[in-house]
Amino acid sequence: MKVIRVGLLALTLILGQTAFHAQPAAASTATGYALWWEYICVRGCFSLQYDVNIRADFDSGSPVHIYSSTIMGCLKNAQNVYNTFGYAMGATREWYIYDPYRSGDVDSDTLSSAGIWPSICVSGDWQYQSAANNNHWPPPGDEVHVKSWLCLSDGAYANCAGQRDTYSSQMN
Amino acid sequence: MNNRTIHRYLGRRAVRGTLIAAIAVGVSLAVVQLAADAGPLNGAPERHGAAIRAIWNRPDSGPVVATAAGLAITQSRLDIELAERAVGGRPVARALDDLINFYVLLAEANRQGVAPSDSEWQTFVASQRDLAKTDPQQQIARYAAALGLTADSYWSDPRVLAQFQENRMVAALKAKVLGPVTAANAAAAEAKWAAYTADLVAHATIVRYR
Repeated sequence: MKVIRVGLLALTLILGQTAFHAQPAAASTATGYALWWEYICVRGCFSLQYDVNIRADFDSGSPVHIYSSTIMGCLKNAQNVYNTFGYAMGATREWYIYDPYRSGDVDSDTLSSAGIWPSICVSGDWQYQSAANNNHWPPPGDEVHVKSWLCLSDGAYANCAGQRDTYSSQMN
Repeated sequence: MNNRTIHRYLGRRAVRGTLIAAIAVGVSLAVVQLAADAGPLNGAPERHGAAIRAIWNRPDSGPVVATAAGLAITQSRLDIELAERAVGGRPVARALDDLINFYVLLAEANRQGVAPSDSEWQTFVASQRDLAKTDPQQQIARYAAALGLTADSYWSDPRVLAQFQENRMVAALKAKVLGPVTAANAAAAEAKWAAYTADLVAHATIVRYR
């Protein structure tokens, strides 16, 4: 009988420990906005301004799962740039999810969206799921950023402006 | 090698020389990482402006490296293209080929006598002046300063305008070929322009001297 009681106690402790460590999935939504100025050179250098809106619906936990989320970037003055220089087509952006506060290994992903200028905005849906074996990223409370590139193309090549943070949010 | 790996490595090999070497490697990696995090434009306006200014200050434009439909591409012009690509971290392998194709279009624009719109240019410059004032990083002002110009004089300097003029001439040819382009017809218009460009290049007389 004592053996059974000890066994039950051990089982309770194990289950309790497991429950303590497991991070239950919690659905959240985060949004971000950024306005950027960029300096870009395609046979002459000039400034560009664009803004980015991001909405991310995600389940935190291990692993985190970002689903059905959207990004939209809008180049200001796009039609005038196109009319003046005849290019600004096929703009693309790459998105990097990273954790700025962790040293060592940081999980990240690259996502992209593409659009045809001179449409004012490009948008894209993106999804992200952290690596299954990386069950510490991102830990609850960490801040997650998305980085962006702004690229303009004249058809022959794309010229990309600087990489910027566009979004941050606390992971629940 | 990330920081965590470096620290483990240091723990195992606590030899002074190795330590110094590892620290040097770590510092180098940190600098590289910082540069990567900052993106390719960190300090780029100054570097790029200095490179272009050095090219402008050469006693002559150097040898002709190619001709495209009768237009000469000089070494200085190619070097400006290369300097520009270096700013964006773009590959330079196709720089001359791309410049040749662009000059074929420029020659065609000259041949057809197209004229860029002054009003569009004035609208563009006005918007640029506004952007320059509000840019927290003052990127164009820094680029202009490296060229020996101000943010205002940048938009009236003949050497700067000459470079923009090439784009404006080709844009005017493009507008003549395609008609008005908006978001609604952009994809089809670009496909038409690509075919038009390929045909022009295929029939152009192109000579490479290097």
